[in-house]
Amino acid sequence: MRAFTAFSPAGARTAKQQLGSFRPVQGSSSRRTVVVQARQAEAGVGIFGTKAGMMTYFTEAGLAVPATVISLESGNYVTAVKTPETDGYAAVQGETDAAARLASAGPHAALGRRAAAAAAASTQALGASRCRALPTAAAHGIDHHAPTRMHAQVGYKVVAERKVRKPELGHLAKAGCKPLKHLREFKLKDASKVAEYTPGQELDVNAIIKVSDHIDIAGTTIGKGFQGTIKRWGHRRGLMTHGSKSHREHGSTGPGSTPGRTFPGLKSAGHMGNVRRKVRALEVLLVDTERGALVVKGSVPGKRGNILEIAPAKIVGKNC
Amino acid sequence: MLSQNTLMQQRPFVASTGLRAPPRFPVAHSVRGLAPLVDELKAAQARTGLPDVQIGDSVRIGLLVQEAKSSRVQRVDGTVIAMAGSGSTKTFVVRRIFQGVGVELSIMLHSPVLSSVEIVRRGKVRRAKLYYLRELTGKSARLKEIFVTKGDKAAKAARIG
Repeated sequence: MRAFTAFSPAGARTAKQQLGSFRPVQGSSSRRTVVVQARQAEAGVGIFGTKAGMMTYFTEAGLAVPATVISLESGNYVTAVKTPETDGYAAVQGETDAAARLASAGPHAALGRRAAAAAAASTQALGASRCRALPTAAAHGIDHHAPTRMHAQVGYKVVAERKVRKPELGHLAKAGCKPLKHLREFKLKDASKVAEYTPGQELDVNAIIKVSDHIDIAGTTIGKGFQGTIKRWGHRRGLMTHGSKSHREHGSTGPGSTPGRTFPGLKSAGHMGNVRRKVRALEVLLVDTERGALVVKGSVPGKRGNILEIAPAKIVGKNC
Repeated sequence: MLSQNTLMQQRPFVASTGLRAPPRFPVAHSVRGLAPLVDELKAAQARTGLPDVQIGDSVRIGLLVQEAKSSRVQRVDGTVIAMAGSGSTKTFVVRRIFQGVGVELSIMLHSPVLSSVEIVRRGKVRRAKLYYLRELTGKSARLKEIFVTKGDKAAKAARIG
């Protein structure tokens, strides 16, 4: 049986493949295998934060650098720890906005095609209580890509009990957690790292993030609505005068009778923004546990109030 | 009790089914909003005890210069010809003539690089940006000095205090 990678780059997948949570793959042998596409493993268990705004930060060296302030609000509890023995895969579950929206919305309508794949992955990551994908997957004898990987589910933002759905409340009660709005699993390659976490445990920011560390931050980008090719893809506009009628048009969409069609993947107008994006390797400038704030160098997706997933940076050759 | 009734009126299904028990966990609301948190961090970065630098002032500033192994303080004398920004991002522009060439330095007032600021004299000015000094050289590029008397200082101290 040939080994199929579940983690091909998102851009390389076709839309059809992205939309399904399970991708049937026809192998060279007569046996069919189904590969579960899951969110990629993180370098470590992460936490959630809320984007608070930007500021100029003076470093010790005297540099004034653009920085983003991330508020660490109530929450960041470990809500579940998953191992290959119990769930067929391993995770630490946590709670945030984006993940919760993905999980509760069901159809991944608000997201782009590429994000749908991530959504499917997060649905899988959100645990057995929330989605039917897992038992179904198990029933079909799915070959999990990395059975040695561990997951930790982390929860964020304590809310009123009435604001959380009952099945989810039950799931949280099992871990002895308060009602939490956002949940997300952090999948790890290293099983021993997940073993350090127990459900119900409050995550210590200082233990996870230190000053001058590099972190990956994921969040939903600002939605721009339906945009033309100039804003969306950086195309150039035509002449506004001198008889030109092509002001902000997209231009040619391809050759003529041969091939008689437009090639897939053509850059055209459409919905822009409002997708999950990850900014990699941002430097941590300040960890202020007293104020519950994290200051990182550079910008992060979304506007003020956007829920962010923060995890140690993945550095090729070092931790991934 | 009153508020509970209002809630029930708004969401009758809650009252009729009675499925929801009162919250078992106290809900922790964040103490402050997100914008005040940023303001707080900005304020924490701002330096205190800085002299009240104004447009037209002749200042003597010390800049920390990092060299290969050590750091030293570079003194710069000049006139403040412009200021911009507010709070921890406030900047001022110091202009001086160096070897016959006009040199301008834009400095962040709250930067740790700025080791010292000393106001040598106050100039009498009628505008916020003294860019007209760029066209002037020699004696005409001077500003009329404002002499601060002891009485003025005492009065100002009393106002602030």
